[in-house]
Amino acid sequence: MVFLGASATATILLQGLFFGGILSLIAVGLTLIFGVSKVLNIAHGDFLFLGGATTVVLFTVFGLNPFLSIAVVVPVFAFVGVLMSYLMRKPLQARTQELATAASVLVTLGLSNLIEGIGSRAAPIYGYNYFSIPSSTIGIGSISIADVVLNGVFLIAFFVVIAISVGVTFLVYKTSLGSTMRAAMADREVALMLGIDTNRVSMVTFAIGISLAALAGTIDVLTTNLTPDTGLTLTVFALTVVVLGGLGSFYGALLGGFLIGFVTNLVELVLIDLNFQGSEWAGAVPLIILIAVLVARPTGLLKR
Amino acid sequence: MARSPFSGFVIWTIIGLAIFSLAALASGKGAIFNDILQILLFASMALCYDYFSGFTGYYNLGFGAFVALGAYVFVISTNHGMNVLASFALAGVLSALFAAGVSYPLLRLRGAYFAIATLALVVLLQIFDTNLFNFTGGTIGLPVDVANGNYQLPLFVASLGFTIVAIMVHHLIGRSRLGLALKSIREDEDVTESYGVNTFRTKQIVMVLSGLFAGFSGCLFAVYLQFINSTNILGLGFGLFPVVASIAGGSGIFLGPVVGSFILSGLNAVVPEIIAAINPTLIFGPLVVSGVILVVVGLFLPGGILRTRSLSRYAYMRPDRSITNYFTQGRRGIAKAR
Repeated sequence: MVFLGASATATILLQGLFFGGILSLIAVGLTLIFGVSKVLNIAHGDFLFLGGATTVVLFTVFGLNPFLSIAVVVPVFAFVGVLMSYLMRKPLQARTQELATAASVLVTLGLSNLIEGIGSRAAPIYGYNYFSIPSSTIGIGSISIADVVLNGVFLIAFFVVIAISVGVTFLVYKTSLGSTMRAAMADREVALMLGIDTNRVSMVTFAIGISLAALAGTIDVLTTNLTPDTGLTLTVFALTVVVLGGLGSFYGALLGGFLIGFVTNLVELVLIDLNFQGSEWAGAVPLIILIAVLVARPTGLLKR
Repeated sequence: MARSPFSGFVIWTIIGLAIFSLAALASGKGAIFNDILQILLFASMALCYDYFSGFTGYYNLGFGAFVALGAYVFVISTNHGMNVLASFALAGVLSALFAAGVSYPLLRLRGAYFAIATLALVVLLQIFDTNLFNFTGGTIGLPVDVANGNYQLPLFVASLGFTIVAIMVHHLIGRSRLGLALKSIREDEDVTESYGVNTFRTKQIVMVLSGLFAGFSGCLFAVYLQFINSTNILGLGFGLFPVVASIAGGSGIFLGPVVGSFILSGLNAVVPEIIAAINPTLIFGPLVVSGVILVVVGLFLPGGILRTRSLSRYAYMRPDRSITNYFTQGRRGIAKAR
């Protein structure tokens, strides 16, 4: 048995919560987009990569502090989201909802392949073999609280994630925009009858969803290395969360993300303690949870 | 439409394939030979994918897992001295058993959930592969040590034979009661269930069949690639090829995956070179090609190329009758031959 010190243990668990926070941001975007426009966006993880890549490029070329580049990334990717909603209008005209979702899976899968294909060729050409911003370059050191040493950048990023989660929850549940979104999610036809412009709501939801993913990428790049091909794997993890919480359930995605991230790192911790290769096998945890949930309760835990 | 599995259409497709392949053989073992071999391999894989996905309408995005499993079983058993044919059979059987086992949880799901779960299956298998690297070679991979010396010709003959068998099986399924059940599942699963069809068992049978043939296909690919690792045989680019080929060509029609594979392989070979010739800094690979095809097909050709109105007349055509019709009825008679 290998016992890690309090510092390492706390770091791993907090990292789990952080990773879970990133996951929940992606998952929330996915579930909102699916709930409102019935599009299953396979390319969602790739937008996280694009957000992170943009941040790194802005940092290395213009010296823009990553936390400040949020102000650039969000509007740009909100616009990208709007473009995507226009792209998705054609597949969504299919006869049944299942056909529409299937067609959207095809188109977004193609989009994901495009992003990954172009990204993995273009990135090395411009000198980026991977995208990350080492915390040493931002100039915030470590902070130690009661014998536990934590990385300063990591802590700030963690709180940013929490703040964004709170912000999105506020947006969806306390604003009138949020209620139109929830109405369209609950029943699109009735929402139409009530006078809600569902096309516009779709557009806005796409904007919010994609910019959330890009935002998650901006934060993620501070702590991890991003490569162009991580998009699809991340999407699969996010889909785990979404399925766990229920496709279309906002709180399910939010809480499910934190839960899965935490459980993944908890399992990793246990495996390291037991002397297995924790960090390698831990990646299988979300997938096993996914399959287990799909077997036991396909509609998800929180969806009625 | 023709009823017998040996109807003119199937026979002519097979003859056409054989002629095409023999021409490739005659051209000597060069790039064309390699291209044709690759098309045959991918076409047979796409056909196996289409057994399940084409008829039921579900997207089995995790099909690559079945193929990869077959490949790994084949390589590991031949590397441990097992006879090639026995390994081939073992790979198919184990892949089919895996498909059977996995069908219990997976076939409860519909539509988008099913696609997600099968995608997760591939990623899960990748993780297992990377972690069990003492056994599977992980990302470094295992070399294939099957035939010392000249394996190209037997491989070509085997792939041609396998493709022909795959086409006939696809056609047979389409013409059988099983195929009828599957197609009704594609139209409306609940109604089919209420008609007394055991939809789960039906889907399971065809998924196991798909797994069996996927295992065989994996063996052929292992020999073709000469070494397998988690990227080249378990990677998403490889596993999604049959999906894209089958969807682009026309799922549910036996010619669909074949046409799709031709197109996809051809584009993969040709497009990157064209783009590199125009602008050397832009290097695009197969991922970009399949991405563009998926987007275009998803937006404009949801049933695949062979289902567009202009081409669907030709999808079930019988070339032998077409030729006689041309002489008796003129140009109009060509498409009327069924």
